[in-house]
Amino acid sequence: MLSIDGLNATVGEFQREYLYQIQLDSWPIAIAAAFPGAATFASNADLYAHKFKIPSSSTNPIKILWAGMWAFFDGPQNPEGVTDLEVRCDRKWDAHGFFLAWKNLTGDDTSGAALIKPLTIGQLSVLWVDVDKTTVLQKTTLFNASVKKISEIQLDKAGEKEISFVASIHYEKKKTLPGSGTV
Amino acid sequence: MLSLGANLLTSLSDGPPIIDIQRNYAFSATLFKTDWNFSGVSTYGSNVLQQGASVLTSTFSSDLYRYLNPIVMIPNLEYISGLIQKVSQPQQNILTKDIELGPVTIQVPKAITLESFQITFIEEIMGSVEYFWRNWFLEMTGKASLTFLEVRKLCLSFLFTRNAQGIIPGAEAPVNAYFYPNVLPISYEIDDWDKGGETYVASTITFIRIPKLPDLTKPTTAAQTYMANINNGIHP
Repeated sequence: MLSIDGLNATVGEFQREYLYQIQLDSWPIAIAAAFPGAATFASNADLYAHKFKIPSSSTNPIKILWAGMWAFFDGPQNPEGVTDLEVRCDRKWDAHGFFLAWKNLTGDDTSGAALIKPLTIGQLSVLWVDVDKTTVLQKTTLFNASVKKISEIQLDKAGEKEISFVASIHYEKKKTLPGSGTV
Repeated sequence: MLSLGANLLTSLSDGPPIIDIQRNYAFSATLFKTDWNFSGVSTYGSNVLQQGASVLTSTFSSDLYRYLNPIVMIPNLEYISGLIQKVSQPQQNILTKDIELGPVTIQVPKAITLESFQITFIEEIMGSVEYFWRNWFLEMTGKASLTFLEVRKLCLSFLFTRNAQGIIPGAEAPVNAYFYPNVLPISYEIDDWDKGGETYVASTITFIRIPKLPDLTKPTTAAQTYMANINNGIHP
């Protein structure tokens, strides 16, 4: 029988997409040289965060034809390796300054120069928060993360919205663990 | 026919009669030196790295030394081993000898030849792979004439293992070992320099095996210990 009578007991609450917190566990220290407000921004990054994509996970199959049929075996890992963080801009443009400085470590807009990899990577985590808005249920961490792209910013004399932009973050490893503590 | 049909049916329902397949990327390679006195790289590597580090440090961050320190170990064979990307296995041929038996000629196995093989290394930022092999060749060709024993001292040994797909990442079990002692680099090819390039730099070194001598240096203790732990080891 179709019914929602048991929903509360069985499912309980549904998770909300807005219940998360961004943490910059570490970031390239060279950003601070280009952008003095880096430390302040980094410690408050979640306040600027708007949208975040938990990256996909995937394993490439190796397909072997056998007697007119096929069989699948597990091949190399093939996640997209990139995710997007949409960030709202504050009036001082600190958020934009931080991520642009990070991107410029991987290839400067003006000179094209880039730092070696160990100096351009950081670590970013997203906390999955319970509907009580305090309990951390899970924590997903992106390792060796670096910003390779900052989206365009659309300025508009007739506009009515706040400004935001998207930072594309490439990473090499991802780990999701049960969370602990509160936010 | 009945048997064949039964097998075919089994195959179709169960897939290939194997538990799992070997992957071409699941391997590791270790480079051992046998008897080698070659110190030029460490001096060069240290100097260049120190200079590079000081430039980068003054420009960006004092944190740099923390990252660069491991790279100062460039002349380490283990470091070079870690940059191995691709190994083309030597083709092995069995030479045969014709024997005439009355009206027919049959071929019997006579010897096995081991052809050259190639290893591709990824270049790292300080150019250590190129420098490493370039100096190796200089060492080999820099003397007026090398005796066989001198050449022998420049030999390397490689240990390759095929690894099973591990349940725990990083803990893949070696299932087969291939030990190539007494190999000598004979040619050396690096990628073209290219202002329009879009990818990384790799070097390909071609090796040959040289014949054994009575006083051959044995594999290092580390190699022997490693191999002793490998099940089903193959020792060509």
